[in-house]
Amino acid sequence: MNVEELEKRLAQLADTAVAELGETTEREEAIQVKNRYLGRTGSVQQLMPVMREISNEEKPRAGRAINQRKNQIEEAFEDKLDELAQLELKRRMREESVDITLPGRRPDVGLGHPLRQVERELISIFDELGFEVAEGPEIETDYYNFEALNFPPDHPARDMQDTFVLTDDRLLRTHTSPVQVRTMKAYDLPIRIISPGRVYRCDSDLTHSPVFHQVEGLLVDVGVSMADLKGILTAFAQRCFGEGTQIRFRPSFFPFTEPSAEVDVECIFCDGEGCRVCSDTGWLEVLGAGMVDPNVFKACGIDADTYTGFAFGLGVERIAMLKQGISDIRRFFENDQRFLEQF
Amino acid sequence: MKVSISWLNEWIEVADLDPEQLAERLTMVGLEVDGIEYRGRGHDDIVVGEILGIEDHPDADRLVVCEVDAGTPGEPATIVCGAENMKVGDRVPVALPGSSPPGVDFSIDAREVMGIQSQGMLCSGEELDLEDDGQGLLILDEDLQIGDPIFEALGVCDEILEIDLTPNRADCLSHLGVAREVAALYDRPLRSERLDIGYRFEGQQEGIAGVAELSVIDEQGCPHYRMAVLDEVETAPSPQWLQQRLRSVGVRPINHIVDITNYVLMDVGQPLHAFDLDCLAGPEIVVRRAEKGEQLLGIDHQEYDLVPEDLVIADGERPVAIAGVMGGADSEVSDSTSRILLECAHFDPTTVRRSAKRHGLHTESSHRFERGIDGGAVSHALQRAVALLCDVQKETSGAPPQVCPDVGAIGKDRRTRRSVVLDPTRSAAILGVDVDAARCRKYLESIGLEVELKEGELQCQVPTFRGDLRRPVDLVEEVARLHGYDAIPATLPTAAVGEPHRLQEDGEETIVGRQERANLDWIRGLLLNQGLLEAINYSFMGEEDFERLRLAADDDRRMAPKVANPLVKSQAYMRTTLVPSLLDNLETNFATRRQDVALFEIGRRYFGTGEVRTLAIAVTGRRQHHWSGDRDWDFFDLKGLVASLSRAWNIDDTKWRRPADLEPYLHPGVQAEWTWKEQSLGVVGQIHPAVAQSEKLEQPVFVAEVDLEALVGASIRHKAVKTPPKYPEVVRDFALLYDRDRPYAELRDAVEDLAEQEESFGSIFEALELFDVYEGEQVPPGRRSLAIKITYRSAETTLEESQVEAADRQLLSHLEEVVGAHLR
Repeated sequence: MNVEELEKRLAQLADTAVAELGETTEREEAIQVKNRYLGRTGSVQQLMPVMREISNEEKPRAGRAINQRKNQIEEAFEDKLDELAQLELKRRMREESVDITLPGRRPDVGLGHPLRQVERELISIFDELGFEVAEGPEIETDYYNFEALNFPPDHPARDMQDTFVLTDDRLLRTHTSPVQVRTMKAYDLPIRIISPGRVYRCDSDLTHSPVFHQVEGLLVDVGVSMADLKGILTAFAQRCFGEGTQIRFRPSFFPFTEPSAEVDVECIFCDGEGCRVCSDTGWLEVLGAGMVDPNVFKACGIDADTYTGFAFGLGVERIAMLKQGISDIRRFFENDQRFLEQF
Repeated sequence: MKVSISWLNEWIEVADLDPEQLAERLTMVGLEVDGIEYRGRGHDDIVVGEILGIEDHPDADRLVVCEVDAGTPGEPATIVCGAENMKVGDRVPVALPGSSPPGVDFSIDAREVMGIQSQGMLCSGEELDLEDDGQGLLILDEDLQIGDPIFEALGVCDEILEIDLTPNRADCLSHLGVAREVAALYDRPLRSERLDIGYRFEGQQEGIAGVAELSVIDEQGCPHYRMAVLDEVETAPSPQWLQQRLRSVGVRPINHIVDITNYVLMDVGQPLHAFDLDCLAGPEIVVRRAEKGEQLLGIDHQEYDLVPEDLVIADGERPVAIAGVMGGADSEVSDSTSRILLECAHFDPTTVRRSAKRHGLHTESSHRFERGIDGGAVSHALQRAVALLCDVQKETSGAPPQVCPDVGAIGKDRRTRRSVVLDPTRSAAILGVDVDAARCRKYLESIGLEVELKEGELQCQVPTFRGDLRRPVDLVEEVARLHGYDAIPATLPTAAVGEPHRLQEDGEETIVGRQERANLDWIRGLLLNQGLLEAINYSFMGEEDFERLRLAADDDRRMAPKVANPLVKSQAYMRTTLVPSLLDNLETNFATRRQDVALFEIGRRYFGTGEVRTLAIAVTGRRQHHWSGDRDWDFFDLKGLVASLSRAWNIDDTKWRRPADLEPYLHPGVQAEWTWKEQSLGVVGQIHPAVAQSEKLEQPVFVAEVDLEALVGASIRHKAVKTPPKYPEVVRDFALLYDRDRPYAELRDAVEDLAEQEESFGSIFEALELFDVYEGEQVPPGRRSLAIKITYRSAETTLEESQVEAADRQLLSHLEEVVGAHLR
């Protein structure tokens, strides 16, 4: 066999090998094909004795031809393997595919009880405005709940708050205002606190609950004025109800403040145009406020000629009902999961 | 407090004001108007008619057919009617078709009544809401114009303001008081001529015999008591104008005497009481405290047991009224009354309030005395009432009564005016708006104060009707009110922002640190992220809750603070545990067919010693619910969740144990106490089967209650951080045979003890992990297999196999010796 014949033979072999490889569909099969041609007993190897028949001058050419064809088969084999691997990958991915429209495992994560959410919002607003948080007992004495707050015994103002009584002297606080007194007695001035917490009044209907939540504020310093109170509450209203929210002060009466005010917030449902929620007034009654009464300062040992202060209070339920459109206060305390899940 | 605009108009010109605007102005000056009632408006189709003819109804015995001229064009109207009190020529109210008389709940149509077409309805006083009890048609005055709208013709069209008065404004509990406020607001004069009664009664005392002797024994309770006596009284229904006045402000007319006392009360704010003098025993009236055992039958026909604190009006024998609160039925004015004793007094607010509260009474009279009446106008009110009694009786019966206007008086009208000094600069400082002395003066004078400006200060004399103005700051509020709260600017306080507050030495801490609040939020977040929902319950519990939890008789939780006046029995105690509330919540949710419930609540428990912030959790049913598979809540879920709470406060060394005193409401075999240094932090467990049965729980329920105050107490502020190890670990797994009933904790403790005691083991022991518990065929009965993983590591070097093998041997022999565990 001369070199031309050898080349021809090799080319034939290589072509068949490539063709055979081309038909394989599995890795093992491809290896068998490769071995059949390139293995120790493979077709290409079987041509090796032919080398002896080739002249020395032609040997390099024959060697090149062998290598070239070997490489050709090798490459075809590698390509085949790649192709098969790709196929295998595709198959596996097809197998691994899921119905992505099936529901995911979603943790039932909520933001907590609506009252707690509102309470936290209020706390964070006043936190920004520089108020610290103060707390006190819910079972209070008559002194802290009434007397020190300028509700003299037997004063009709006590009728404004139907009180749960425990013993002669102990009662359930009707507001968080006793914390004002406790704080003024215990801390150096100036004082700038809010006091969130549970309060109690014997009353139960659509808008009154025997247990409810208040947030009260107190600021005492030299030179504090009612204008400052208005400023703080305006800042509060705009953070709580939206930028540009207007507030309105109306004269009112609370024993522990003088002058006292009811504070209305521009109705958030009609922007003050008048609607069902605000009874067509354009205003929602949201806060009570006023300048700390000198008698309260006196009870706390604070010089009312030097210091002035303001206090304000608001109902968490009231705000939650407004913001969340809830009309029955009892919903908050039923703990029906169908209600709670919405928050 | 109801205020009639037309009544108010008698005191001050308000007829020209728009009622809505007036209401708005009053609201903005502190007299909050809750609503306006329009009386008699919108009824133009109920008119004055004249009866032209009356015939029997052909087919009905009790009906008549009337021909009525209602001023409408064309033929007279035919109206079928069931009344009997009218005659031809009478003027009567006619409700034309399409009208809706205010006293009935239907509208009038032209319709057939037993075969006769009836074109409207003839009305009774009741049907027009003008009388309470309308027998027959309302027969009108002959001078009313036929066809005129009836309410306008009767002059009863009115607007009634419902004012929600704050307790300090006792002066506005009358039309006169509100008129004063309007005068200040609109800068209009009071019709002060109305204050002039037009009678002078002096010298008319002769001819009245047997008049009572007055003694006031308790001058503290009654600083001023004054009486008039009227003889030859003829009790009669009040004339229409008086009835309408009272009706318009919600007071039911009774007879002219009672009506006049009520009228004066509503007019000038002074309560009065009329006794039937002939029903009083003996010649004396004594104002004294009640004696023990005395009783009074009130005009409401309730029997009141009096106590020595009650101030009473007594005759020669017994109490006839609780002073300022309620009169007695025995001396009540009746149709047969011919002599009355009229009381006009000033009673002490506290005394009246205590009696009213004690007897559960709240009357127009007690309401005013409690808040304080005008001590300067008692005599005037009495004179006013007497004058009216004369006028009205002349009107109703033709002859006035005999009058003895001042048969006795103890005390006198308050004359002295309180002096209060206002410094306008102080006022400006408090309000944050500069209202100069002249403006302050103008405002204060407008509400009746006499003001003198002396050295920059306003020296004010406060009229007796403004008992609420005592201090300079009270005048500051008046200035602010009249200047307008709207005129106060909004500024921000400059001082104190962010300045931390310092606790004084003897003070009691109220301020809650930011960190503590953050920790609570962290706990809430953790639980919410685990799919639990946050509950908020009332702070109450009931006697039955002690039984529900099977609490022993001496259990501390039965010592719950007791509410003396609970709304319902189940809220008679303050909670000493949050568990019953959560059990209630389970029931609520089960009732909605929810079987998977996971709730927590952060609330206080209340003990004699104080209030304890507490976390309670209740979980039941599926923890995970997914098409790929469900998983139910179990004890270990809750135990693990609770254990993780300690992370919020950096507490490392908490432990779990079987409680020494088992929780009675938890399964004795499925409950664990969480502790820190022998202090109990809380408990986790499954609801006891007996409780589950009585609560009708059909599936296991797991609950936890954790003392958050104790967690705070155990907290570590700064925790040293360990550097991540440099050298690799060696991990060994062992399957150990272990007694089924021996707690795993003993094995864990044994490993930890060994690490502490034996340096060679302890220096390379890093961690123990339990990764499998197996009981069954592969292990002998009474035993179980615990698979544990031990991690070894040295801080200084890479461990050698021999070191680890030595440690393994040490461990295994220790475990065999101490807890009887050996390799499987």
